[in-house]
Amino acid sequence: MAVCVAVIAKENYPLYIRSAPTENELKFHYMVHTSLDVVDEKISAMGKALVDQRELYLGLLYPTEDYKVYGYVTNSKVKFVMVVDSSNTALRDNEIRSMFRKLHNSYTDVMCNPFYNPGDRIQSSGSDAAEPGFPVITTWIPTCEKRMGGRPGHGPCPLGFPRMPRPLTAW
Amino acid sequence: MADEALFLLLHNEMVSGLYKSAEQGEVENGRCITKLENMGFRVGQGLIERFTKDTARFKDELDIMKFICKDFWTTVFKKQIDNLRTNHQGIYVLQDNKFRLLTQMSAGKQYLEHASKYLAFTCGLIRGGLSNLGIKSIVTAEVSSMPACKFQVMIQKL
Repeated sequence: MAVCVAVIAKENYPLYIRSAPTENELKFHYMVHTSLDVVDEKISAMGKALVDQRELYLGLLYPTEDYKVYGYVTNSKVKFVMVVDSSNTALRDNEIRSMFRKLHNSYTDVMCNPFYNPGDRIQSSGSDAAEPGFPVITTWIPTCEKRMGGRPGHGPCPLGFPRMPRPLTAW
Repeated sequence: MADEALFLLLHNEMVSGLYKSAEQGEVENGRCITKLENMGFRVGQGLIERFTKDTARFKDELDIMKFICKDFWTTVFKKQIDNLRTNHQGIYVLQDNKFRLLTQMSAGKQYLEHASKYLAFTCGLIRGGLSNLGIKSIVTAEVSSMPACKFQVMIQKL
């Protein structure tokens, strides 16, 4: 099951980042941040042999002992990063690809929404899981960036990722 | 081909509506072309996102310009750009010998002075599309004889 989903703009700041387990969010933010380097490496001309240059799906970026990180870059240089649990071995490549396609379709719809200014933060209206633990973003409501006060004891992210608004419904 | 006429008529109404409101003092005179261009910019951004959803990754700038001339132009105007010229240093000239938005107006020199109003939206469309693909540019258009027109794209190297 996907534990973290992130949409990163072409200037490498996050447009949307959401993790399933609500504790330890910082760890996932950090993983997504470090995976951006791998994404850049894959799409640059240097890594010609590593990945098919014409494909949007990048595949497995890097595995850690608990998680695997997958990447996808659109033609408009917007990156989608997904962190999945390693323990779930049933997740095949096709399923990851279809998850990214759904994400891409949702993002395209947000782009065409007249109330969305390109570059603003994206807020999800709440997601109904198609299967337990699998977040499917049904509608994204574009909002201007809102400064969210963190929970007491949780300071601002030292890497500069602002705290995301709390989801309206639980996963 | 009712769907072709839809965009044509809407575009013409948009231009005349904007200029009418300029006469009534709601919009500053002279800002109409900028407004049209900005409208086209935002539309271009959304359109490009939709059109490139399924296409393969672009290799380089020339690849992107060819996409604009072929697929993008075909989807919006139902025809391709007739001629693409470049100096390989960031300047591209797209020539359309029978621009869809101008064919209904005249077939020669009549109404030449009004042509720029009707090209502003399309300039913005190209600029918005390129900006979403990561290319900053300035797009201008010129008409010497209706309905042929040339769009000049100047890529800004950062």
